[in-house]
Amino acid sequence: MDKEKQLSEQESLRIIAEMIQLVKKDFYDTGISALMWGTVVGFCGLFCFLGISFNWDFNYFFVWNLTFIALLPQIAIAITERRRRKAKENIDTVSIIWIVFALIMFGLALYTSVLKTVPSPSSLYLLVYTIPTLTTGIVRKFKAMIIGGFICYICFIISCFTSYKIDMLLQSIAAISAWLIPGLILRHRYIKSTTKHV
Amino acid sequence: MFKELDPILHSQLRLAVMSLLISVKEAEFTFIREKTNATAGNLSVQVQKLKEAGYIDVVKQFKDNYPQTTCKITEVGISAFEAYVKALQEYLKV
Repeated sequence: MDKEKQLSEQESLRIIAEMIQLVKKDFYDTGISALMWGTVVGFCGLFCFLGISFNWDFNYFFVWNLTFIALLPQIAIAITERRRRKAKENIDTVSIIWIVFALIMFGLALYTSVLKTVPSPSSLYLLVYTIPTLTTGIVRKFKAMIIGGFICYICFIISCFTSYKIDMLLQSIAAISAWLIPGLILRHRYIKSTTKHV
Repeated sequence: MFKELDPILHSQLRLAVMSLLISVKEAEFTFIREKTNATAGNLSVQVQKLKEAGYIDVVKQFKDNYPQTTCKITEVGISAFEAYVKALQEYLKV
């Protein structure tokens, strides 16, 4: 593709399609992460099922710690893949969903296994608030909602250590940060855009 | 009345570079060279023309003691590319 030559419209379209296809081929997922997590979580679940079925007299739930260990190769894979690539991919919605999923899983792990006492169920609501708020914020590149999503997540972590009464206060803070403030910003932008066209 | 096709984009190599960059966040010069099969010299010239038109940003830096050139499409470049594709569609009635 060295010499300058006059292009026809068909040739132009062919070049565009060809280059987009070349990039797509370069970004095929290796599948290693999916294989690893499928194996680890599948094994842990089966191990505990057998433990319960046969009344093993040891704490077989320890096997779930493998999921924390699996985080190390996952981070190594992510760093290696990132270094190997000569082009950075645009972050797509699917990747964002998986990033938010990882955050939620970490939160759930804190809620169910790390803490000695079970926090109130209202904490789980705060964790759920994070999902749509953070995803929408990142997909639409709307900073107020990204901040709101993180505030929900922080409120969730705090709520794991506080009483039900404080949890209610945190619910209020989360809702104001995640929806009321972004909503006011969106409303202001909407009114501004409609008055422009009058 | 057909729109005139953007002369900056209506060139084989420049169009290929822009089509690659529209699909990624940013790409190294070597990546673009591999995909387009162009020589480094010719590619440099075309990249420079795209940069002068404001269609791409070019960042030169060092990575692990080696020089690294990274290209990224700009907002102006995205608009120009979209207008070019729209004009092509009008020509071809697709």
